[in-house]
Amino acid sequence: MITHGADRWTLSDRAVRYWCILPMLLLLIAFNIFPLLTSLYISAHDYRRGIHRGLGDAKFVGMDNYRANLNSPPNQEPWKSFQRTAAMVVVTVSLQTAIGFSVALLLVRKFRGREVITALLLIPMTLSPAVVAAFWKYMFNADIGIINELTGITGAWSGYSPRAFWSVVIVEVWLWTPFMMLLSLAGLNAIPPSLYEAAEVDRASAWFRFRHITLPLAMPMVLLGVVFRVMDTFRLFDTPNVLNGDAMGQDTTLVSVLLYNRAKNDSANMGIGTALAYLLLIVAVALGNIAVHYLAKMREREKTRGAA
Amino acid sequence: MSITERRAHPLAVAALILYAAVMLAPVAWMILTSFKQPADTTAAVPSFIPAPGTQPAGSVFFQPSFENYTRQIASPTFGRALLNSTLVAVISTLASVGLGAFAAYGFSRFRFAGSNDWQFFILSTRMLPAMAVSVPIAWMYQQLGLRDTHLGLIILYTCFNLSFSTWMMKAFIDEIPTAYEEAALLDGYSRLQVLFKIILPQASTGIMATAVFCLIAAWNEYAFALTLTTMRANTVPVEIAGVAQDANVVYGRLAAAALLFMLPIVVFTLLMRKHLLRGITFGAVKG
Amino acid sequence: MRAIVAVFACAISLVVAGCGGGGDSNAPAEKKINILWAKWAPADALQKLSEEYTKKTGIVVTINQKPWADYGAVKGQEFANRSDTYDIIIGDSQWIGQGVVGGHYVELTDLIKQHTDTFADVAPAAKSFYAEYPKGSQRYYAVACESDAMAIAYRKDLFEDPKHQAAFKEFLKKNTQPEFELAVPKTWEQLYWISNYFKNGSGIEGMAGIVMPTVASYDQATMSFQSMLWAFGGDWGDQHKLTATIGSPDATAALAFMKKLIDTSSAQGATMDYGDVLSTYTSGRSAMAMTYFAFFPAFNSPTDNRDYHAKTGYFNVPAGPKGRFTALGGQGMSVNAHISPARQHQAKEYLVWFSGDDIQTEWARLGGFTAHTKILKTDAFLKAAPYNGLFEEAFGMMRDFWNIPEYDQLLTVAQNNISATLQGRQTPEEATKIMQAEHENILKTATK
Repeated sequence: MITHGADRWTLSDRAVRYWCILPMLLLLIAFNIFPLLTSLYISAHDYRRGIHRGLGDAKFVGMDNYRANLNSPPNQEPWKSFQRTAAMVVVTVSLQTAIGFSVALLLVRKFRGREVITALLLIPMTLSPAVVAAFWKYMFNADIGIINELTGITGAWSGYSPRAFWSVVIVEVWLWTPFMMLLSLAGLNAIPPSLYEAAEVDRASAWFRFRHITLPLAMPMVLLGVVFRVMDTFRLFDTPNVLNGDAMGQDTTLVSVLLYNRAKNDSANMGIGTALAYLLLIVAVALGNIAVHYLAKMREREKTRGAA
Repeated sequence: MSITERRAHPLAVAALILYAAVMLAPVAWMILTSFKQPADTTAAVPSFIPAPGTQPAGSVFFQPSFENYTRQIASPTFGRALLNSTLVAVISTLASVGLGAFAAYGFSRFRFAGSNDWQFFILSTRMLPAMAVSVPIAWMYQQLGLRDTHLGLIILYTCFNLSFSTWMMKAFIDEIPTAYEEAALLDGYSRLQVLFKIILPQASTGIMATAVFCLIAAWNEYAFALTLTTMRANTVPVEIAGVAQDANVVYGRLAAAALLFMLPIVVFTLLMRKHLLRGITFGAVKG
Repeated sequence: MRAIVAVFACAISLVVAGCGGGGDSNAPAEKKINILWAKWAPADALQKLSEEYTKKTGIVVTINQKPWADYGAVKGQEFANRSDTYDIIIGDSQWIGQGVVGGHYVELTDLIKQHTDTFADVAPAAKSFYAEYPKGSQRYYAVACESDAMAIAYRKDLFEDPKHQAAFKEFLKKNTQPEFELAVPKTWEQLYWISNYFKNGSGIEGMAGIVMPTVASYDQATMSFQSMLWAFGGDWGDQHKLTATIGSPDATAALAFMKKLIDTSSAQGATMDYGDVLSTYTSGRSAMAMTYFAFFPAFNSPTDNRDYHAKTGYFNVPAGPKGRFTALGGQGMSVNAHISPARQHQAKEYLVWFSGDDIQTEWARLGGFTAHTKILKTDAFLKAAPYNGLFEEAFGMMRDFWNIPEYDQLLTVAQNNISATLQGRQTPEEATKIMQAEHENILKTATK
């Protein structure tokens, strides 16, 4: 595969192609295949971690665990947790994207101190959610927290109160809007200025420029951000768990929280939680597939538009 | 004049400053809290202004103290945890960005069978909740003797950042027109040379941005560090979570610990901002 | 290309195969003892205490402290992996069932018999709750390490204020209640009226009557509920027959009472964890606080309770219509069954050393809570802190939750339903009915 050429380090195209990708793929496979296979095994058994003396003691139950999850009525877990997670994803990602993109629009033009402000705005994204959520919990405390103190709200933001959902939304939006802002900036700045100049020559209105140039061309980067935020919010655990614990039936009992709640009881059948995780994986895979194909199409469309 | 060179409207600047103030208010509150004694953090009337000497109850002044910081720094495990966090975060970031850059180039420039499927597989590894994989991975580590080792954490962090870094850098590499490579190849450069001499420099700021994200993720990771480390490779998030979840939580100490922990990352991000933002303002190449 | 993949695959499987297995189990133990505990002040105290052991024997003792919220999960991980990382595990009393049935704890019955004088004066309640499994079998798998029970701290200055004493009598009259003094309550009903007064009749703005742990995580709500449950005559069930009795009218009355009491708590009152109880009380927003003795040092400390530590008094929980009981807390020290025999021996020696009279005295002085009754009676102990005098009485009133292996499922059900009731999501009747049904379900498949 190593061809002789004028220069010393030449590899054929084919070799380069594979060597580029191989190490990464192998690492990922090694570290994902094993957990996936083990989880699959457990999901088909009645395995009680605190009582059985090892996987060997687990009783084979086939599809029972899956059936237990799927057969619960639609107004109960795990379906309710799916609904809550979907709501969380839609609300937080929309807010993060809307705010992030708007702020990016403002940041695109020059002004004194732009770099400093942009850098400052990045700070929330660099913080550890598990740690920062603990401090937010203090701020949301109805007795001693600053938020109720300043706003005059008197109720608790925790437990079964619907406000708990919004406390998670607030923290998540606070944490990740900078991420969407950064990616929006990337998208906005990748737009060739020549397009705007052409539009000016044609005396296009600001709205027209926004709708037909800015928005569509910034989309790919923004969408990439949306994809990542959707995936991360889908499996969100730290923020709702720290802010509101893992009790069942709360407005913050998202899918990951439910999984943890089910998995933490060592004397309970771990297979049910694992089966749920597998069902989750199937949903995630399906969504991911859609995301990838959609993104690829976006890319194609942008390429043809760029060529035009 | 390109869009990036126009001056911003003063109202827009004012809005931005207001927005920044609101966004950073919690951080400001954290800083204030970190200097407060326990009684002031739970006082009925919140205090905002540090002043020397004992203050009457219910005043907006409070007597500041450095004790939260000194106690946290004096904690015997904190120093080592800081070292471990740095080591693990830096090395795993280098690894995930390095491997990811190569993979990103491969995916961006080459068509091969199942390319979309592989990309998708990479994306999907990011979709599983940590809960689902932490138990088998902990067991796997136990068997491999990787438990509580730096190497173990590094490999794990590299893996979970890999999908993100590959996708991010692919997006940046996609933005680089192929014209340069084609010209270089025609001139007799090999693929590898093209990769090192043309692509990487042009994508350098995108790589920087990706590295920053990976570093942040590795630095802040909590769930795996909790179950996979005990005494040798323990990292800071578990330390701080301990302060946060202490049954007798001292909020000032929590704030101090959180600030100490985020300081290196924030400083790093601020230092890197020119690179970050330059990469983001990449559009100069086009047009 | 395929060759490369094959090579990699082989390499990985070799690594996996080669790195299996534990160490040589016949090797002599290194001079180290690793202990697993939760992150809190008693663990720091134990670390300090163990320095003396190191001075005496040269063995380095390290206490690995995990955050409380994750402590259970970490212990589950250690058990499931049959890991030999830790020599000693200081586990919650409720974990004993799993520890024994899963084969994770070493039996210590013989050890205790060998050292009768060391273990002779351990309070019977402590021996039974922290170490014995199954109940009444006289087989022991731990030694009492940190004993604990729930009691109440209160604002002496408010109680002794003549203005409040007079206003309290008015308040009782207004609510057509029998008159009694504003003093340490003797019954739960009296406590309720005092709490109600401070919340609604005292005129102190933002004041709550009482705060206690009520959150649905881990065990907070259940622990608070237990003292009332037993005082009203209810109980969880029979540990030997594995039946549930939580659906009884007495239990329902207890839960209804607790809901009534929480209505006189603070804004955060129905979702408080141990830390919140401390914060709200030390900020002066509550007249009383019910929590574990382990947190009382904070109430008594000038740093943690700057404004009220000198104004705080303490009393044991009051009586109910059918008795006076308090919820047991605390942990026992167990030896990990997955370590080598040499390490087990070394760990056992540490346990015996720890249980010695002089060390237990020192332990009590450093802030740990000893179960050795001789020490509980000494002047030194009684004078060391204003609440130490309550402890001996509390030992006589202690009762515990289930400690069978399925305790965690039972606890989760209890937590969810009690907390939901306190937050007004369901009535006490509904709650106890659900708990009864679900507990029966769990007990049906419980390990016999």
